[in-house]
Amino acid sequence: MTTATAIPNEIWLNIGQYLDIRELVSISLCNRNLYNLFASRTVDAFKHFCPWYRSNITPEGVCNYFCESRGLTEGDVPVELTNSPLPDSFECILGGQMEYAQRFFVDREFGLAGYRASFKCWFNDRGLQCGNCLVYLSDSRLPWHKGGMVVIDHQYSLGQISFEIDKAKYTYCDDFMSPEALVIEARDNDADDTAIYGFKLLSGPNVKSFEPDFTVIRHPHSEASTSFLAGTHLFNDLSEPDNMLLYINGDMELHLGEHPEPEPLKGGVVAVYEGKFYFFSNDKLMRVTYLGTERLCKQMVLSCFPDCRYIKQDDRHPRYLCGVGDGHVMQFIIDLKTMVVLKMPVQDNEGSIYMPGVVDGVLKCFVFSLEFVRNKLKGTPPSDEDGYIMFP
Amino acid sequence: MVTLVSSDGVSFNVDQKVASRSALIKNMMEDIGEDAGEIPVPNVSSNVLKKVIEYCTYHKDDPLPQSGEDEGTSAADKKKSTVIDDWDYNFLQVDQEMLFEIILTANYLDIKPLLDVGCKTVANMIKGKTPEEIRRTFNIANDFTPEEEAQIRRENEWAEDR
Repeated sequence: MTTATAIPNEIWLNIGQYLDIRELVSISLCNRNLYNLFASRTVDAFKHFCPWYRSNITPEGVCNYFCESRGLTEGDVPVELTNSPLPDSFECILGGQMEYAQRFFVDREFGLAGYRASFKCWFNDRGLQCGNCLVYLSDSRLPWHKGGMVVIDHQYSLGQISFEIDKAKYTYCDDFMSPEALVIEARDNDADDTAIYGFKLLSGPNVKSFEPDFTVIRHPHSEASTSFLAGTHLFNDLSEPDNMLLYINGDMELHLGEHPEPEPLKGGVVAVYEGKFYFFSNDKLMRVTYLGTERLCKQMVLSCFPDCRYIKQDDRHPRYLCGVGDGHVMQFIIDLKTMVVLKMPVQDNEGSIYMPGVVDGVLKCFVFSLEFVRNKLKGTPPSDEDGYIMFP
Repeated sequence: MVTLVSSDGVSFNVDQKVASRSALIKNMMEDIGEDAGEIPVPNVSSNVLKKVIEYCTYHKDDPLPQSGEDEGTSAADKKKSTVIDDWDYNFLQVDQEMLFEIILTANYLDIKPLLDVGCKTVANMIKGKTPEEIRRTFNIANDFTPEEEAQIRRENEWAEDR
């Protein structure tokens, strides 16, 4: 009797040409031969299906994209010994944010010779910036990491920023930033219904040029839409009227599907990791997976964080989300790779300062007693004006 | 006319135009010349060959597919359409064994349109099914190790969403 096992691989490959990415994943999970046979085709198809997937695409990664059903489990941030110096390779969570305002900070009171003052302390890879003092908490005194800054070449007039691309004049509307790109959204001065997105890549040979690396011109779908940038990938979140996520890079305008639950999603996307979208609104963290055109996205509520004010994705290590509560206290770190919520130790003003960060690929939390930091601060002169970061 | 002889010795007299739907037989006829006589088709049984001849007879006036027609279509391109003509659809309403025999014969005799429509039919049978359902449909043995199986067991939850 002739069965499917008699079908040679070349014919299975022919059959595979008629399957979409989800069907390719299904057939490749049937047995080892089919898994190996469709591995490269699955990866190739997935590159087109999910071009914003930023990790290296593997067959396992594709299967995981569609099959991932895990929720969050709980754990604790691994805490190092108190007052251990920060290693030179330490990269503090949220310390690499391209937008200075998004860098993580805590409000601290320090008593100096009977005088108590309140400081905003910004975490840094080398230590803490307390006001205009750079308090090194590492043994070596490597240069202070200040993050990046991009200057847009523009003309300012009558309250509008204008610039030229290919001899057409545009008026600035908004900009979006990631460690990999800066995108400027502007409207055509002669055609108000035309928007242009200028993409400037922040690495590569042309990084110092003022010219955009590429531009996307399109008709805006809705005045109410918001945009967000993940890596070099820009999305429109059409909150009204159709709650549609829209991928608009290059020549591609891909409708990613409707939000299953429109109201709670108005808080917007907080993260994109391994192709999936994470929303935080109404205390709920949700994962939304795009499953193909003309289909609803798959939505899963991962957890509820009632005391959390906002959640930020770390620029340098996108697998980590940082939950921040009242008083800018870091409450937890979510590892999206392992799907674990790592709770931070409870902080208080008389206790310790906790600095979570990544050392050689491993998340660690360094802890410093306030007394230790006070002593360091005492011996730290104010930095030159260009030495510290001017925060808003 | 040309005579095709199946593996079980049954002869079929077929118009040359019909036989030419098979690139393999067409080349053989061109090599042998006008007096092609009997052409053995040793890998194909009479009941399958009869079905394939039925297909070729119905499609005898269709334009022949050009060689290299699919070149330039990379694997990464969008999947091909699975739309099947009514006649072809009804023609392939056969049991699974016959379907696979037709596909294998189309591949052996190099009848590309028949091979394609056969593959489309199988693809349509895969659509919407979970891996376990596909295994059951096609009697495919699961040879993943228990560890691998545990890893992919999560597919079931995903399947419920479909």
